[in-house]
Amino acid sequence: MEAFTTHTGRAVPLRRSNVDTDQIIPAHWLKKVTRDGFEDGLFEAWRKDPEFVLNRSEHKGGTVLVAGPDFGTGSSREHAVWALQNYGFKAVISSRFADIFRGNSLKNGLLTVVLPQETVDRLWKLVEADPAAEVTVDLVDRQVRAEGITADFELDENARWRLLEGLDDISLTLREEADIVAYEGRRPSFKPSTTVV
Amino acid sequence: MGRTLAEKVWDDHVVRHADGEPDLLFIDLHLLHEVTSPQAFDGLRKAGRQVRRTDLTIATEDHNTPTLDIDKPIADPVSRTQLETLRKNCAEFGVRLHPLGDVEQGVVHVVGPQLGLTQPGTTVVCGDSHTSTHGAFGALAFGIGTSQVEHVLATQTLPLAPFKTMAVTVEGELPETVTAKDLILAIIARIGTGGGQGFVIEYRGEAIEKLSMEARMTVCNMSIEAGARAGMIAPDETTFAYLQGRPHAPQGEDWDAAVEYWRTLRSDDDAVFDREVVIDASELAPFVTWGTNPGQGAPLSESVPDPSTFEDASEKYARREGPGVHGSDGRVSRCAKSRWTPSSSVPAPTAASRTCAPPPRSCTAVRWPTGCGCWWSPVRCGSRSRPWRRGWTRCSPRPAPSGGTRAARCVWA
Repeated sequence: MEAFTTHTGRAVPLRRSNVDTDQIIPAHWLKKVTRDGFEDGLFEAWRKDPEFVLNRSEHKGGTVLVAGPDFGTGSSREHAVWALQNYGFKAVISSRFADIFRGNSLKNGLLTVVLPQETVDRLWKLVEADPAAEVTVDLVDRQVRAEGITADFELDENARWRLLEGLDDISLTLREEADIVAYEGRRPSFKPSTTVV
Repeated sequence: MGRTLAEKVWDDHVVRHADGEPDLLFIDLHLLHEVTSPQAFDGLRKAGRQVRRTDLTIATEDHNTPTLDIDKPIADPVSRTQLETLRKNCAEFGVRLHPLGDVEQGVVHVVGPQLGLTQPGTTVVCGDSHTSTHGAFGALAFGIGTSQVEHVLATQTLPLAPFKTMAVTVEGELPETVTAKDLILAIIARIGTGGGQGFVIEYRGEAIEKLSMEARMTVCNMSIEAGARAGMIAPDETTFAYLQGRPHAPQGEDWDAAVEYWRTLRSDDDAVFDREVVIDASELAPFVTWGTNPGQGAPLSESVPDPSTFEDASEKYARREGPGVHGSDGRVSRCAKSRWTPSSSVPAPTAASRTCAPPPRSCTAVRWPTGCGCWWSPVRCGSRSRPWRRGWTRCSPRPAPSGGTRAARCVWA
């Protein structure tokens, strides 16, 4: 996983709430068996509208998505995170994320930043007034900075450390092999097994 | 202090606990399907890893599968590739697979219960958000993403952050025409599509205890539509009767030991939930949703909000474009996904429906207020973003204290 320390880029204001993962990447894209090539499916239905924010020339090349509350609800598809990353987003800011989406994003190195809605509103106003305005998402200092805006955000220490170091979860867990073996040894025999009976 | 059902199941699966780190939890059952697994198997292959516990893993083809002509080659080449990839991966890694045409093939969340693999007190994961379905058996079951699928395949564990607990108690008896789907839609309308975020919800109370296993699965299935991490129902005689004799249910002495353990899986009387919601079953009416997210719901007796009052583009889009099913006789109709749109003879919302008096001061809590003849909750009334803190919707079919009508009403600040 690519490490995330700090990122500065232009922001894309997505003034929509309750954006679910099917809106981020529609179900028919889930037939692919790779992790890349999802960028054209990102917000596919909305991109048919020439006025949709991603279609506007002034927001091309944005790397920080600033979305409304309850971003990433619905289906657990990790493809939603890959689609955002394939498109070029490095961070998503919202006042509230769905749990599974947030877990998926942090595992893939897409930083999801929770900020109060009033700060999101200010970011929206800023980048709508000046699409070239840059937004810095600083994981080292846990801070989002833009012209006239400085906002601290929370992220649990463990998730932050893994992102900063670019550490892969599986390798970390495999260090606990002895604990896993010990647990397996004390599991009751009535627990289900999928072995054909 | 007592523990909740969810806490008991969690505690019984902790492989490793360290302060400041997520608990490492053991996974009893891992369900796979063709959509969220190919990239996970690919990750294993690239890292030279094996599936740690093939005896706790089972796969079925269920997302991109036709329901007709299953004996013929799949027409869509991309779907075909996905199924072929799952078959190849299961063969390579030694995972039991129920492919298209197999008698046990089916929707992954039905396969687990029908085979008796989904059992009380187990941890169940699947790369599908509706894994919460299995919570109907008193299992801690949740949807995971592909990275986590790979993690479970490689280690049979998951590092998980702690959750909050919510009790949704449904008192009394459900009216005859009210189904489990109506019940869960009413619960979601009450707590909101984001209301369950970070929570494991335990559904309890007389109305829940009287539900069949299938109805309990319906309720738990849609926990995810409330944003919850999981939904659970304490196992009881209905659960045991459903499981006994199923192919993978415990047998003989194991059955007795299992039932003895399963009987301990109830929230203690002194257990404290982070949030408690109480619903009176007898107040509920058949429920429909009018948009594209399950929080956009109302009892049949209420009116659909006017989209012009919505401030949020997503809400407007959902209302205008909501798929829905038209009623042939001019009334609303329900479909499998409980989505509907009004046909032309359904009265349009009127201005009057937005001008009710504010709720009594004692009724402003999210919880069902004592002594009030109605419940008011700050759920969206039009837009989710602005008016939901400033306006109030009466979501209950129960008449207002003043004897007002049953229409949903909002008051704009």
